[in-house]
Amino acid sequence: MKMKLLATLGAAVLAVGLAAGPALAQQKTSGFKLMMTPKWTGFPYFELTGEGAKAAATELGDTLIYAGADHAEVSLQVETLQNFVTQKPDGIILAAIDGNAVAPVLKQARAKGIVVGTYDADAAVAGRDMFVNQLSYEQAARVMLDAALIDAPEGGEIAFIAASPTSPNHVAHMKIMTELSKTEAKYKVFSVVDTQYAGDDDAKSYDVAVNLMQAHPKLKVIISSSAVSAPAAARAIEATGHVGKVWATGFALPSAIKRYLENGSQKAFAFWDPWELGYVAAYAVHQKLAGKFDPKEGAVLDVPKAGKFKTFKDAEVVYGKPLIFTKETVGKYNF
Amino acid sequence: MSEAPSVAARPGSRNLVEVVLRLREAGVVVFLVVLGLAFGLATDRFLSVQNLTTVASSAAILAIAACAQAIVLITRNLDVSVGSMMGLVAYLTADWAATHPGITPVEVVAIPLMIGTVLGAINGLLVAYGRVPALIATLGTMSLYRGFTYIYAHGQEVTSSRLPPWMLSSVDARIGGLPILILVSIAIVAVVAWLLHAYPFGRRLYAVGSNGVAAWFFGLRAERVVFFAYVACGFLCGIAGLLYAARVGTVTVVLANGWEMSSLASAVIGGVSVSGGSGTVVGAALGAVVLATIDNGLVLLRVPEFWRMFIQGAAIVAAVAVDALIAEAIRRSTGGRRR
Repeated sequence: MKMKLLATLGAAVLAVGLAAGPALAQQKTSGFKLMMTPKWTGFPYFELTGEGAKAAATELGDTLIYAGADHAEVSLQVETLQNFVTQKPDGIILAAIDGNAVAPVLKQARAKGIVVGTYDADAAVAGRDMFVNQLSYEQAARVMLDAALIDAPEGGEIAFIAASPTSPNHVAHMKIMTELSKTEAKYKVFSVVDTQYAGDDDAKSYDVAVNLMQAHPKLKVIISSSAVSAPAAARAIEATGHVGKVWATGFALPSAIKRYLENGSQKAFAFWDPWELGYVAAYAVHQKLAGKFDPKEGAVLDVPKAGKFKTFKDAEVVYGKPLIFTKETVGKYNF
Repeated sequence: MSEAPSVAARPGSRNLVEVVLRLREAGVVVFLVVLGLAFGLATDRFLSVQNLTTVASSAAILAIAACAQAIVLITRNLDVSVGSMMGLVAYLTADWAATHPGITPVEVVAIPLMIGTVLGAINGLLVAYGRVPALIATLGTMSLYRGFTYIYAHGQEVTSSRLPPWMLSSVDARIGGLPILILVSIAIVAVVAWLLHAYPFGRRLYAVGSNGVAAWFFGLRAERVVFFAYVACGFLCGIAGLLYAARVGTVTVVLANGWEMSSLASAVIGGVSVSGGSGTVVGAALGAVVLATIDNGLVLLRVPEFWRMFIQGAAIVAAVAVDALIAEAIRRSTGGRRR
């Protein structure tokens, strides 16, 4: 990994050197140097965000370097970002492992005039110029309930598995889903009966799912915002002979739930298109650098190939295009 | 197993030690029964056959890991690389299975056992022959094995759709209504218990753990005993890692993270002393059942997660405290006669 990082950084140094001339020009509209780091490299989901971002950069006449450590460790991510800053890019794009831990280095970057955009997982607001959010909390809640409706159109008891009680997005999703199940007609068929925490751990999620099915004999759907817990719940349903009685849904990578959709033990899971998310994130940073987009509340980011995206409070640009995978569609995705 | 410690203990103290050890074994069973009754009274869903099967399935893999940990603990050492060994074995096996579509069940079983044995042997070499303190050596290999898993995986994971379908369905299979996982676990624990009971190697483990100096006087080569204890531990972790991978279906680099603690907790709750020389693998396996019972019962009672962690932690601390008290009692009663 170190080798790969060094190699890419080496290439970056070279590229920066080549670009140094034009970089001095005043209001540029293209030819920006973008550097991107995901939570960790090698994982198909993040690799696709990287490919999407590279595609955007190529179309816009920018160059983009995608690098990072091969596992999600915040100190390594800070190191990567420091290396980025010393190479004086025009823009940095990242998925933060720990929003507060990366804030200081990001602030340094911004102080040097580098535009910082986060995607997938946000950093502290002061550390970035914008956050390209895959889905708003409400969209996430709705798409998970929609998937649950595909599983159990007649409704019934639902239970949640979240990472932890302090995981902000999971907690917000559950709160909104609980509200929607009480207030919105089509979701009123569901009643929330339990919430458990599994810390994004496969085995823990599996055990929790098994215990949930024991605790609630009438349980219909287990919903999880964790892409680790949702497939583990699907596996638990299959392994304990609850197929057809209990369903698992929530956010999951297609590769992790393909098996269950194809063998018919599950019907629907939700996610978003990582390629396009990366594309939009790079596009947004480019537009900001080119002076064509200012991420203020209400501003609209126009990405011709992907759509128009609205900006909310704290420079949050919502990408907001959820996908639902079913047996028919899951084969189309390669992440 | 009760005669095992007699190698080290002098005849005079034998009866007392035996009684106390029996009590410890019985203690886990009593605790389990009390726990079961309490949960049974509190919720009618607990004592159903289906739920008890669930508890046993959850405990099955941990019981094997606890058994592995117990073997090392008995020699007065410990192994904190248990989780990392399981993780590395599981990842390498799953990755091999995913990239070799024609893989046979024999290979799927043989690969993790071989890797586990090698990893255990490395620990054994460091502790027994390298004279590195067990905690330091296995803390080192804990990071080493996990680190290697990261390097090897390169950020990837092995998803269930890439594993041969039979690998997943075979751990879900049931024989006579009982999940095969439970039967496999019982069989493994029983075989290990029997081997330790019937062969001199078992008694040597206890001898080395309870009184290394006396064991040396008896002509025992402690290094070799400790080495093989670690090898056995690695071998069992190989089995546990394979079962874990097949059970969860998605194999990530963090698989079995923290299992060093839960295996240690199970063993200690099950009456295996951290000061070596006492306890049995059956006790350790029962300790795993206790942990799984607490987990299941508290979910059935809708106890919030934070309380579950708190109660589990309290159970572990209580078990270690009782262990220390018993050890102290034994030391006092035999103190005059036992060096």
